Amino acid sequence: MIVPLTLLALLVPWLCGYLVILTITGKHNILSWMEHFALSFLIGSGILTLSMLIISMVGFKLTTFNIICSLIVILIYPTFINLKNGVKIPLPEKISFKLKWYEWVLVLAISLRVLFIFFEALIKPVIACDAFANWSLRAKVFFLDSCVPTNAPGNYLAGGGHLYYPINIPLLQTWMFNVIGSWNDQASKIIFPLLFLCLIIIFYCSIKRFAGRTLALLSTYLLTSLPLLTHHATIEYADLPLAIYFSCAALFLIEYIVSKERAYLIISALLAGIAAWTKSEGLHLMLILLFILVISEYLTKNLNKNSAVNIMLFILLGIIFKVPWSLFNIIYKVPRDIWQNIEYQNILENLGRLPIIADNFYRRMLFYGNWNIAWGFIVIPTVFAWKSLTKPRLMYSISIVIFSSFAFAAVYYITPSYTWLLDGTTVNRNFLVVMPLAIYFIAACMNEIYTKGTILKNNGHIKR
Amino acid sequence: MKKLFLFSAAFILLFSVSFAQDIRLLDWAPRSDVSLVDNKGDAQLFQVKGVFPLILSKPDLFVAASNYQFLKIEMMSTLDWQSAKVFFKRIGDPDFSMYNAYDFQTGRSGKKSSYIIDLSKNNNWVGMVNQLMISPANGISTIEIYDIRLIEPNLITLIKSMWREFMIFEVPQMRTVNFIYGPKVNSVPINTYIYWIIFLVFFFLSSYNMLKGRPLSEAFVISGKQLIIFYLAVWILLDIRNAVDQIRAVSLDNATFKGKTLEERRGIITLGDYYSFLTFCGNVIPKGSSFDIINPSYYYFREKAMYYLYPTYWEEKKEARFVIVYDPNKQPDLQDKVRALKSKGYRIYKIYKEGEYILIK
Repeated sequence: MIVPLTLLALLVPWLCGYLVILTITGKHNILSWMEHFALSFLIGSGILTLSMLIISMVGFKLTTFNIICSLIVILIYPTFINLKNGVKIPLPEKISFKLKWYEWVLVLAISLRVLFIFFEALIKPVIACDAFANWSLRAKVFFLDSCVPTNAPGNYLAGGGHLYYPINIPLLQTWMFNVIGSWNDQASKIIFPLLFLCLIIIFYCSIKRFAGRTLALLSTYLLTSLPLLTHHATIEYADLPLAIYFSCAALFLIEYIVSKERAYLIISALLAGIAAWTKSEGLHLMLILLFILVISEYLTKNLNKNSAVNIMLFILLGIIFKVPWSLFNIIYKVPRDIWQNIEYQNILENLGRLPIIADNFYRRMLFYGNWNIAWGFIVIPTVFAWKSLTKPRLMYSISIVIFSSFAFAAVYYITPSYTWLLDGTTVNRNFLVVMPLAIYFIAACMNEIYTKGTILKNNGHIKR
Repeated sequence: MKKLFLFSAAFILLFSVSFAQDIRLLDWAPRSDVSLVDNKGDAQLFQVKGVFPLILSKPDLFVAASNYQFLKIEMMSTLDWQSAKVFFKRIGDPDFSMYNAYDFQTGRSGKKSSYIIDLSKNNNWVGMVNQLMISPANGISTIEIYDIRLIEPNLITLIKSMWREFMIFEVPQMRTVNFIYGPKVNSVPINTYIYWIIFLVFFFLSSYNMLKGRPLSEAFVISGKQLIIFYLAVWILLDIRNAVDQIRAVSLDNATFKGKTLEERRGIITLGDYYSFLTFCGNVIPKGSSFDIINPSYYYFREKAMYYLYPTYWEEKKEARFVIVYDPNKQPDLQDKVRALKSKGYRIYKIYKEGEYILIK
């Protein structure tokens, strides 16, 4: 009975996301059915958990019935709009199995990796340290208390653990427990490999927009070959979900910059908001995307009224996911994260940290086994595609990677989190966030190097 | 070309021939956490009883470290992928130490395997070596040792040792979530070699393309395209190497968890008998009560107790009604804490087993 209930638990957020995306894209067929499928779970899961927080804050119990009622309320408007506009559900296009032999090899390699991840995640219950200390602990507390505790004994305000961390992932696990009907910390882990699957589908479709199938498959395979990324898809930390929401937000933002199709911007803003709702760092990363949006709007339109609307739209949609949690923190006086306290008084004294930060970044990016040889590889296509580096896909993807890396470095420079850099606890998990974009950049460079001038645009779709 | 090939073959053969005799080390004796069960001809059977078993070679070996680079161990274990250690003691060393040691990893259980350890990687492998000591496993198991010998430096053994190091299974563990070391050769990350190779390949490709009479810019672009293909090939090869570890992880997890219930699986992933102790605590402490915990510092006992015992909740600042004591090794510092609590009015509530009990106030 566990398997059908688990699938049912996944179906609800997926359906929710599906309707929302259908409303955003309207009659424009800007997403392939596969991308729509993957994106539905990403956005639907964020909406589901946000509604769970809100109904708990207003005093309702976190029962399956209450949660579904809240979703119905949220989805009335999108459903109405879809019916009014006569939006058709995107169906699979004619699927071609005429792949070249090496494309079959790549498909096989990707499939095996995905199978490995699902197996490793689902063969055992919760295993990771911070899952016991925070992520899965809170999920259990929410499930057994049927609420996000606001007046709990001991240290269990907001579920205990690291109180200041957002609770998107714990609430998603709570939802799984609710539908399954018991505290099953093995079945609920399916969300992690599933999020990874969503990432690789969206990543493939993003590359496919501007490159051929072979390059899209090759890049997707390279993404699945990163050891730390695949390991995180099998455990219960929020770093990979953060990486997925943020990377997909960045990919859709780049797509918006290239095509000026507003639906991409809306999707990007929603994903960036869910990233901020997944882990504290998500807010900084959302600000980086906002900065990129402002720069791109400035470069293309010199900040006219339309660009102001776009920027406001991004901010509003993004913070929708952050506001309830921030309110919760204020109302219930959730203690601040001491690791993020800025040491203003030490700004000059901390200068000595700079070479150590640089050294740690250098060693862990290039010489550890976390990323295969991806970071070394970035140099080569960058050198050979340097003439194309000003093209939006290349410029913005590498800019996001660089700004994000600098943001992480800045955090180590001015906060006590520096300790976590020295012992290697967090720095690789930071890079996890930017790795999909780094591979995207490599793919865009390779496309420039090998297939110059073969790209055709068509209504936001870029076909070969 | 043929001459070059023959010359290379002769060169390799020359360096792989051993001019001195290997030294076979017989009659190993138990030191701690282990007992000798049987001597089967040349093979010895040991029963490991604890987490840090040690077996000793005969004393007074008087071997010059410079003459012997490798230690070859042929053995079989009943545990998979164990972290093993070789210690050496030189003339003048008072005892074995962690500085004069080298880590290696054992392979699959139930299979006779040969491990070649390059002892020269330890900077202290100099002077006259007096005795060796091996820790072959990390838990209760049976170890069968067939052959242990010191081997002279030679090319083939060196390659075997490097290959073995490259293929070591980096078993997923607590710190894997933060970083993965990745394959190494000669204790240096494989990426270092790869970057050098890439640099050299680019140099040769550029030279080759220029020698073919291409203009510099064209040679640069063509070399770049060829280099990317080469780099991708190396990336894929390294990924195949990683896939080997992933297959090992699948095999290990399948053997460990297959056919087990969820409760049994939770027990497996929790150190020793800690999960069954927590289950006991969960049954005897009334739900909704508060608890504190006294535990050793080498594992995240408190986090696991908080996780598995909820809705019995951990209380940080106030004095909890119940105190869980998990002290299987009877550590003096933990016993002091228990004594302090007893002086505050706590008494034994329930006992699970010696060193694992609950106090109540």
